[in-house]
Amino acid sequence: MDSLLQATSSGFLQVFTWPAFPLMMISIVIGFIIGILPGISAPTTLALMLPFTFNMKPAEAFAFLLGMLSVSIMFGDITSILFGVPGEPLSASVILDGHPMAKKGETGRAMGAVLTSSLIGAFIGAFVLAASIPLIRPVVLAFGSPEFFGMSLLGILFIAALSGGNMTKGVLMGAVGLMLSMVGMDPQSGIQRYTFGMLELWDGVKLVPVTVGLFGVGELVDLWVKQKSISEKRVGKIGGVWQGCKDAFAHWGLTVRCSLLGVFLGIIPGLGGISQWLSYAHSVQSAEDKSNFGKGDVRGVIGPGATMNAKEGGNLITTVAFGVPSSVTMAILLGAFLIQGLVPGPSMLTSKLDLTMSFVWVVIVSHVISVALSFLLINQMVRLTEIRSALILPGIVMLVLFGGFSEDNSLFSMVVTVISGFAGMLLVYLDWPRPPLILGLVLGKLIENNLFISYARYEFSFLLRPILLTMIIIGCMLAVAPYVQKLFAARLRVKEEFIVAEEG
Amino acid sequence: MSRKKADLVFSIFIVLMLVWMVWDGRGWELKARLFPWTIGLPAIALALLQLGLAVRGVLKPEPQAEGGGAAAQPSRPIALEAAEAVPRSSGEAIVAAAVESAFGAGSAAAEEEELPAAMVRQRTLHMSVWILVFCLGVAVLGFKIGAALLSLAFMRFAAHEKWKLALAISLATYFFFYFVFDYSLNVPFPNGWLADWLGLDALDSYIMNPIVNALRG
Repeated sequence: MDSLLQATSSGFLQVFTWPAFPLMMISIVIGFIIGILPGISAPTTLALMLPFTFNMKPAEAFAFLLGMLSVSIMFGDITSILFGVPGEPLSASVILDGHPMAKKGETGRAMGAVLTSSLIGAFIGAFVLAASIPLIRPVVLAFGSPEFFGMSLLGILFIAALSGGNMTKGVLMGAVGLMLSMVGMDPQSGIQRYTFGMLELWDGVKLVPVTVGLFGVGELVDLWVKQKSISEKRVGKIGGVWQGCKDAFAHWGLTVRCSLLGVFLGIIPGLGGISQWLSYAHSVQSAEDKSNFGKGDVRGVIGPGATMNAKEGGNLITTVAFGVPSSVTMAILLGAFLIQGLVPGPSMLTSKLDLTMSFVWVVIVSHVISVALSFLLINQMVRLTEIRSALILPGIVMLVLFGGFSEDNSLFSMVVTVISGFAGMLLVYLDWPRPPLILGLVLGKLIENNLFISYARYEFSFLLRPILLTMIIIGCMLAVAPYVQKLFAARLRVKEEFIVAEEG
Repeated sequence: MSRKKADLVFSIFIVLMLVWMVWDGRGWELKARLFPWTIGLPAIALALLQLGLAVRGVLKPEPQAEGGGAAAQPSRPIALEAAEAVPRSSGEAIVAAAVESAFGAGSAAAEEEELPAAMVRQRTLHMSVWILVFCLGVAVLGFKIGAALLSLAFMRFAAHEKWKLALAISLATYFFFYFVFDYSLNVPFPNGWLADWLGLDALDSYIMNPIVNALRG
């Protein structure tokens, strides 16, 4: 317990030291600007910023990245309120009541409510993250290589199952990601795998060019296709923010419940996408007078706002402790772990505990700062949405290309970025999910290492270790579930049709 | 090529790739082969299943042609799907109604997607080509000057912005790359093929170096 307290204070200090704090401030501002600009989502923002962390120390890098992530998540909600268009495709439930509120002239109140509940949600998420460490530590320390091997595969399976409808395609993409991670010199035997004799591939397929390409290029093209700023109509002056702020406290119970819901859903890989919807449903369900929902009830804004930001706390728990991210953004953040030479798992909870605790502080501090900034500057910030996309496009194209290039300062990596970009567009067009691919690529080396150690120590009998066996069973159930469901649904439909036919 | 046929081709590609990757590892010692085969062999089985599904998708006659075949519309289906995933409750009807009013016909979210398919295709192609041009331009001209000139070209010829605005933004782009990456972070930018071919330094260095030196005194 003592070490935990020590790590907490040391983590706090790490956030407020010289390069880390200003870097976090810069990232918050960047997050603000990119967050409110049309068409660029949180994963892309995060991917674009990865190259900037190459020269940073771990604490600085995560202050930079997590700070930005906090802001961009918050801004997804603000876009939803102002324009009735989801800032992030999967986090759209704030629109349901937020946008009607804006139409009624209560923009400020909706924003105040969402910002305050976000802040409370983030606090609770961060607190649960900190509090869970002593509980999770024994579990993680009891895990050996076989268990981590199983856990990582299970994580990919979860993301594949929940990230985009089609399970087969999702799992296949995860496998392709893993196969791509094998390109290059094999660490154990020195054999060159799949390099085509190209020197550039000896080191393997690089993470940053592929991530930036897969997520960035598609969005660039999308920006050009839509070719307009999100706000055709001017947003008027925003007032009444304090009223919304008070609302979030007036519905204290709802805010806390939805935050806890968010943390819980954040722990389960892949559920992040529907967490906001679940919390909206909970807001409706728990309200006594439901008549105003969908027409601008402030409670419909508070619940989802709290959940969205609390979720990141839960997300971080599994990412840090098991190396199993439960969302795309966390998968990209896991890439940052690799860039920093960090291995998620036991060391993050023992020798690197202070770094983990600094994450908690970054989440808290960056939220406080960005909420304060929002309150102060929101009227000016909203102007940014009037910028035409054509003016920001070249800059972002260059950032994407530079992002690829800077991985190892080679034009080859830049070309890899562009190729991944077009591959990403193809995947979107054909409805193959991208997140499992990235996760496979990120986790590949780690999984191979764990598999190799497991095999070296136990030969194939490692597969019979009880925890791993349980994971395999869960994995199989997860893999078969959609097909069984489909089968049952089909039977049910046949039966219904039969009944209808009989009656008709 | 229809989307389903393209999906079939892609599925074939995945199968072939996985088979090749597994086959290529046959001569390796166990240490190097263990992981590729552990992942690759089950993946091939799964890829064949996917291939089967794709074949079925192509062979099965379409119930009714999708109107216009507009590009994937993420917001509405996802929103509705997610709303369906919401647990059954007394407030269910209210949630459904709210989702309908926020994402249904005529809402701001739905209007976002109202672009004709041909235009979407044309603009996608347009931007893809521009990205290739940017990539090539940076390789030929070097990073900083390439960034500036191509930004100018893009804003002027693709977006038809005013000269002044385009020029100002390209200059800003140049200085951003110069001061942030070159000057502060010391990123070793290549000089560009053109400069290499002419046997020169980075093209912009002839202008910028004297200025920076003069400023330093």
